Amino acid sequence: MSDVKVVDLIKKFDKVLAVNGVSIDIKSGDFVVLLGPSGCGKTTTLRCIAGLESPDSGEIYIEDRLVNDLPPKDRDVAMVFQNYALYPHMTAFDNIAFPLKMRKVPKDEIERRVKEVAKLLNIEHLLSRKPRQLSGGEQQRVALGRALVRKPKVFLMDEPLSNLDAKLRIFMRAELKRLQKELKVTTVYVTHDQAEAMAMADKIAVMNNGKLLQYDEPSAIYHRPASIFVAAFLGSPPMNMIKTSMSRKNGDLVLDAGAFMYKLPKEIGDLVSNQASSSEVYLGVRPEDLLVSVEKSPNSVFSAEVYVVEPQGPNLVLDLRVGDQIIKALTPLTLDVKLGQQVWVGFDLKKAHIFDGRTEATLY
Amino acid sequence: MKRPYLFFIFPSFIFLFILIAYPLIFSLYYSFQFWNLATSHEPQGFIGLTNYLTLLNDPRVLNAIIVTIMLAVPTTMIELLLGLGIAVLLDRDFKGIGIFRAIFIIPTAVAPVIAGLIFRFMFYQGLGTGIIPYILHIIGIGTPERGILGDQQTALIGIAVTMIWRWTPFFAITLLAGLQSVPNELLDAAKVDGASRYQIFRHVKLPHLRKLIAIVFIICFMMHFNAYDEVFAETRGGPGEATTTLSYLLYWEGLVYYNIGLSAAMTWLIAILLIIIVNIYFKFAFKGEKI
Repeated sequence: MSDVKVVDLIKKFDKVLAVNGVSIDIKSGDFVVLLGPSGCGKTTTLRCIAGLESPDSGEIYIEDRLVNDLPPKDRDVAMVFQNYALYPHMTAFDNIAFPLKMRKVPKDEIERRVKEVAKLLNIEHLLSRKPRQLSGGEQQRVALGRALVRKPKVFLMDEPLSNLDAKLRIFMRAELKRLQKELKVTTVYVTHDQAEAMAMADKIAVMNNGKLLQYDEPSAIYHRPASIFVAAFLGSPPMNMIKTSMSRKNGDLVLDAGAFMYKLPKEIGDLVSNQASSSEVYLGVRPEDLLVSVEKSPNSVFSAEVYVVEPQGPNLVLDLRVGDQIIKALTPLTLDVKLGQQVWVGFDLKKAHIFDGRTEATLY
Repeated sequence: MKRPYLFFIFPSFIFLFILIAYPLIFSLYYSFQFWNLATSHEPQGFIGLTNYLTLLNDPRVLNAIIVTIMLAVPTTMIELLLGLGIAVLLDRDFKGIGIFRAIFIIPTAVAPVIAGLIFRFMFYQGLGTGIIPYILHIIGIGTPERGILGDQQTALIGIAVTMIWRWTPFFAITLLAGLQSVPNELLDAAKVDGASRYQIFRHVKLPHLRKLIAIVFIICFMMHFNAYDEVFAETRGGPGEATTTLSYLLYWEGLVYYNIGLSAAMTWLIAILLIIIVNIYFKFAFKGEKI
């Protein structure tokens, strides 16, 4: 059963198309992350689900009920905002109790439910304080409490962690995920942080320019991106895109990157050449999938010059110069390289991708 | 120099002293003197607290205090309620709000003595009856025989109406600005939390306005407490002393009778009274919060 269904959603602001034909089907109990750069339409999509914006066209269903014309209060959704949006004149208790008071829940039940939620979030000792007497993380918990206390059908979260410092963000990220799994509430979560999306989501919807580019499980999005944009948006450092031109040599399909040539096996070559819209294609390889060695090995595909060396904890991030392009490679700290040194780089085609240079779609 | 900063704050200190302290000290000094400008061009001798005691035993002063409070408190309250009502009605996005605001503020921009004169004509009853008695007669309410401003019972209401006409737009515009400064996220949160339009107003917008209302209210109250121009233009304190406010009495004492010492003492009496009222007000309005 699907809990939230968005069909062909279109939303314009004046002449700007904020959301352009987005369709998402969210299963009951799933944690779905809308991921994309700022201005991609993810927050607008969320606000349409909440009922804070009304779509220009398309349908939104919550538990199979068309909610397009329902005001937010009748949709049984709860929302957590980026700036928490706590009512500044109310104590934490009153903030959490607010949705219940608005629904005329009896006083003793309000008291019981607020305390229950406060216990779950470890904020029992903060209930008598006002928002300005709370730290960012505590305010965040109160805002969560206000969403939880109602036991809504759907949780909507609009970048709820982005105002916290890095350490607390990673802590709260895990907390949130645990809570969501415990309560099994369908959640739609908006973020521009790909690491957050990868860490939390059951499914990620990658958006750009108002369009849904790919909607799948995190590992599928990471390993089988549908386009250059998706491939480049996820992962840190992002996937290397090596510009090549495709040509036939003795019947084989060869990718010419300028600095090196790469011959594709027959079946992959046919697959790529049949789909490609032009001879310009990108070879995409994630930094961790590049194998760097000082000596030439059977896997080596091309040689490159070490341009920058950045040690990052257990790994080294190498910037390598190949012809006129710079690519990044993730290698173990044990690799001993110097600036300017020539190294050999190889990769496994199974872990690489080929993208159409014009349509940006994935060819392989 | 040991304390060079003293040298640098000296000029501003002089300015502050001339602008604020000197008039205060000047009037305080003369409030202890007997001085009638009609008979002498300089103070005629130290008389201690006599001026103050004279005033406290003067039935006209007590009457003026009552008239002033009867005028200032209800007037400010009605302005607040009307202004808040108008602000709520206008609190939505529509084209031309800027022009509307500019037009709307005109009554507040009109000089009070002009407003007083306009209303005096509008209240006038007799040859060429003004619009207000005319309408009141048509709808069957009627007016006193001597006119609204000529009757002991209604003259103060006439003055209050003038002040309400002038100051309601000020409340409306200030409170509208306050309403529109409520963060959108709070309104969104309240909508999702299930609050109706009224509940959003009652539980989110109104608390947001609380401090603004408290400040605007007391500022306008102080202004109305010192009401003078409208009284001068409309009733000259009459009939009898029905509209003699403290400020009007002060004007009469100082600039008609030339009792400089007595009016200096009265200035201080009014100031002390206002300070007491304002302090009590702040205690209740803010309950120890920081403003």
